[in-house]
Amino acid sequence: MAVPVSGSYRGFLTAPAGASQRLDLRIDVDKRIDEGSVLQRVSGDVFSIDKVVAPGQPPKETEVYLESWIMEHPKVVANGNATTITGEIRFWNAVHPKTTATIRIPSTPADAPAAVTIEKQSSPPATYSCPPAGKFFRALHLEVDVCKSVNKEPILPTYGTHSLKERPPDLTNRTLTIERAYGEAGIEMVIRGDKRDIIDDSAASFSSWSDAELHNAMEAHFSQYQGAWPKWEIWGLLAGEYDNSNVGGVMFDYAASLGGPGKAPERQGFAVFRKHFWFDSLVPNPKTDAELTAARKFLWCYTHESGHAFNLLHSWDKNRPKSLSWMNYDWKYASKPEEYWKAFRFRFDDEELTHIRHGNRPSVIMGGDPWSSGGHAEAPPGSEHLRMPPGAMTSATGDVPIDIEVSSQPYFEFLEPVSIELRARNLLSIPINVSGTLHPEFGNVTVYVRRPDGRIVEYMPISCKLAEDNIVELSPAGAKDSSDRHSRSIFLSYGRYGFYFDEPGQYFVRAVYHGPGDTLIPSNVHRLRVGHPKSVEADRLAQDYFSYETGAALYLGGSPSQYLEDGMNTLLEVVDRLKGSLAAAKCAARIAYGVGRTFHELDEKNIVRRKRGGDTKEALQLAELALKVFQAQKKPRHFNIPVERIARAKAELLLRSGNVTQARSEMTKLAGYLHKHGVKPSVTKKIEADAAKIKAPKAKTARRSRSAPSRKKR
Amino acid sequence: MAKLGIDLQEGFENDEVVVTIDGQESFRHTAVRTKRVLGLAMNDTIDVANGKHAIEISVPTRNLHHKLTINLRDELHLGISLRGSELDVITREERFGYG
Repeated sequence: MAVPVSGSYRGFLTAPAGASQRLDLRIDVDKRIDEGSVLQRVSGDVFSIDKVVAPGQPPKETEVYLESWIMEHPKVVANGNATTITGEIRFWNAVHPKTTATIRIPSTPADAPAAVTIEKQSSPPATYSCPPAGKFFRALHLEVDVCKSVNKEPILPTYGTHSLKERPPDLTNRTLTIERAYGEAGIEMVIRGDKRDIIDDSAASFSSWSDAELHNAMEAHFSQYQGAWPKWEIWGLLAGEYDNSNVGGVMFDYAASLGGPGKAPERQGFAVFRKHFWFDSLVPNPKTDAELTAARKFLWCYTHESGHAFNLLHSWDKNRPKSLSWMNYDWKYASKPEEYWKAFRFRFDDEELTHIRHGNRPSVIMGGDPWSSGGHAEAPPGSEHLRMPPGAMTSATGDVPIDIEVSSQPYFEFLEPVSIELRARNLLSIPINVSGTLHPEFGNVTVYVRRPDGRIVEYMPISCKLAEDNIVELSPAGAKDSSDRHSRSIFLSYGRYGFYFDEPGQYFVRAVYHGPGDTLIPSNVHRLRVGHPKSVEADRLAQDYFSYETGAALYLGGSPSQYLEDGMNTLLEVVDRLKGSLAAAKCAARIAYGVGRTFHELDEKNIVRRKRGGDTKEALQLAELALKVFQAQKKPRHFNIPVERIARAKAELLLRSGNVTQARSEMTKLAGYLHKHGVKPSVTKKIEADAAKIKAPKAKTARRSRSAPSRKKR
Repeated sequence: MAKLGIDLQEGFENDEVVVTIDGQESFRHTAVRTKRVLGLAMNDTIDVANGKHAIEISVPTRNLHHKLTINLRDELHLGISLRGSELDVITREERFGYG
C-alpha cells in the first residue's frame, strides 16, 4: 500500500540560480487526517527571500510573499518508489501563461523532500526541493483571554459527538475541541496555553461590549498584536455580553465590504459571549440535554467565529443555504433547528475546506488582505471584478531594510491631478543604496490603486524608460539631516489605460519597490479621497477633461502638439474657470513648463522643425498662479515637492528669458521657503547650490541645417 | 402581555422598515443596514396582547410589502429578510441567536 503523501512541504528554489525563493507546498491527494476530507488539490505559496549583510552583524532576512497557486485536477501516480503528481496550476491573481507542475515524492526515506518543477511557457523551469513539514496544511496559534465576570469553566469548548441523539446515525464518536475541529479541517491550531489575561469588566457603568471596545481590548491584550502582519495568529475573548443580547459570538474585526471599519490588518480577533441565552446551561461536566446542547453550541460558536477570521462567510451568503457546515445557522438550515443537528457532521463543507487549506494566502491568513477588500472570500458570485493584478497582495515579514511610504494630501478636488509622494527610508544602521528614480516609468516601483468600486488596478505609465540606475545612498537610520530618506513625486492621474482617479470617492494607493537584486518591499496602504464637483461648471468641464487629449497633455507636462490642442485648451479652461482652486493650480503647474518650452514637430517632409518658441510669459503666469495657491495651503507638508518643482520650472523659464538675477532669486526664495517648512537640509542646500550656479545661458552658435547637408567635393 | 420580537436580518442596505400590527404602526426604522458578519441589521421587542394579530411589514425604500397573521402566546419572533425583490419572513417561538 502506498504511503500517504498528503500534508505540507516547505523548501527552497534550486534552479534557476540567482533568485532566492521559498515554496510552501500543500498536497491533498490521500487521507492522513482522521475524519479529514481528501480534496484532490495541490497548492503553493511562493516567497522571495532577501538578505542584507552588514559587516560584523548577523544577516537580516526579509521574506516577501509573492503569490499563491492551486492545482485543481492533480494526476497522481504512485508506485513503490515514488508518488508523482502532475497537473496544470492556476494562479489566484493576474494573468500567467499556461503553467504546469510536476511533484515527485520518493517513498523512502520518510523525510525525503518533494522535488517540485514548475514550468511556464517560454520560461526556464523553476525547481524546488521541499522536505515534508507535517500532516496539516496550515498552522496557527489561538490566544484566548477571559473577562472576569465570566471567568469560570468551561473557558474552552469540548463536546462528545455522541452526547445528544440528534446526530447523523453513522457519525464517528469522538471528543471535539476547537483544536480538533480545525485539525480535522487540516489546520493545526495551537492554543497559547502560557498566556491568559483576565480582563476586569466589573465597572458598574459597563454592561456590554461594542465592536470598537472589543477591538480596543484586542489591541491592549493580544500579545501578538504588535509587529508585522499578516500572521497566522488569532485572538479570542470569552466575554460577558454584546451590545445586542441576541448575539452569541462575533468576529468584530471585519472588512469594509462586510460593513466593518475596513482598516487593515483585519480578521485578527473574535469574541464569544458567555452570558448569551445559548449558554444558560453551560457547565464543566454536562449531563442533561440542556447542558449538552449548551456545550455543543459553545463548540459551534468558537469554531464558527474563528472561521470568520479565516475569511469564511456564512453559508447562505455563498448561495449554499443548505450547507451542513460550521458556517451555517441551525435555524437557517431548516425551520426546525434540530434538522441541522441530525445531519451535521461537525465539519466545514468542501468549498470552505478548499479555501482554508488551499486558498489564496492573503485571503486566508489573518491580517492578510492589505486592502481589506474582503471580496475574495471564497470568491462569492459576482466578485470577478475584484481579481487582483500581480503583486497587489505582496507582503513582507522579517527584517525589512527599507521603509517605503506612500503619502499625499488626504483630499483631492474633482479634476485636481493626483500625485503621491513615495519615500524610501533606511531602517538599517549602515548606509544602503536605493534606486533614485523611484518611478513606475523606470520599472523599479509598481503602484496599485483601489478604486471606489473596489477594483484594484495597477497604475501603468505611458512611458517606459530604460536608463542606468541612478543610485542614491541613504545614510544610516536616524540621520539628523534626514539623509536616511529619499522621496519622489509620482503623477498618477493618467496612464496607459486612461484616468485612474476620475470618479469621486475613496481610493487606496499602495506601492511595491523593486530594488537592486531581488529586493521587493511593499508600502503602506494609503487612503485618499477625490471630491465631488463643487459647481455645475466643474461638472461640465469633466466631459472634456476626462479625454485622451487632456490626459496625455497632463501626463506629458503640457504639449503644444496639434494633436493635443483640445486637451491643452481644456486645461487652460480649467485654470481660468476654477481659478484659485487646487484643481486649477495643479493643472497650471503640470503644463507650465511645457507651455514655456520650445517645441519641434515634423513637417510635411518628415523633417523635425521648430514649431514655436516657448511662451515664457504665459508659462510664468501659470507657474505664479500655481505657486500662490500651493504656498497658501494650510498643511504645506504635502505641497513641498510641488512647490519645489514649479519654483524650479519658474527659475528655468526666467533664465531662458534672460532674467538671471530673478532666476537666482527664485531659487534662493525656494530654499528659504522649504527650510522654513522643515524640508531636510540636504534638499535646501542643493537648491542653494543650484542657485549659486545660475549664470546667463551661452549664446547658441548657428547650426548647420540638417536638411541641406554639405556636399563632398568630388 | 406577550412579546413580539422583530429581527431585521439579511439583505438590508440603508432601507426603511415599517411594521404595523392590526393597522397600527408599531415599528419604524430608517437607514437599516445588515451586518453581514452576523446576518443581522437590528432587532427590537414589542409588547403585544396575546391572541391573533394582522401584521404588515413594509420596506418603502424598495416598495415591498408582506402580510401575515400570527397567533401570539407569550412570545414569538419574526425574522425578516430581503431576498432580491421579495420579503422573506421566518417565525419561531424561540429567540434568534447570531454568531
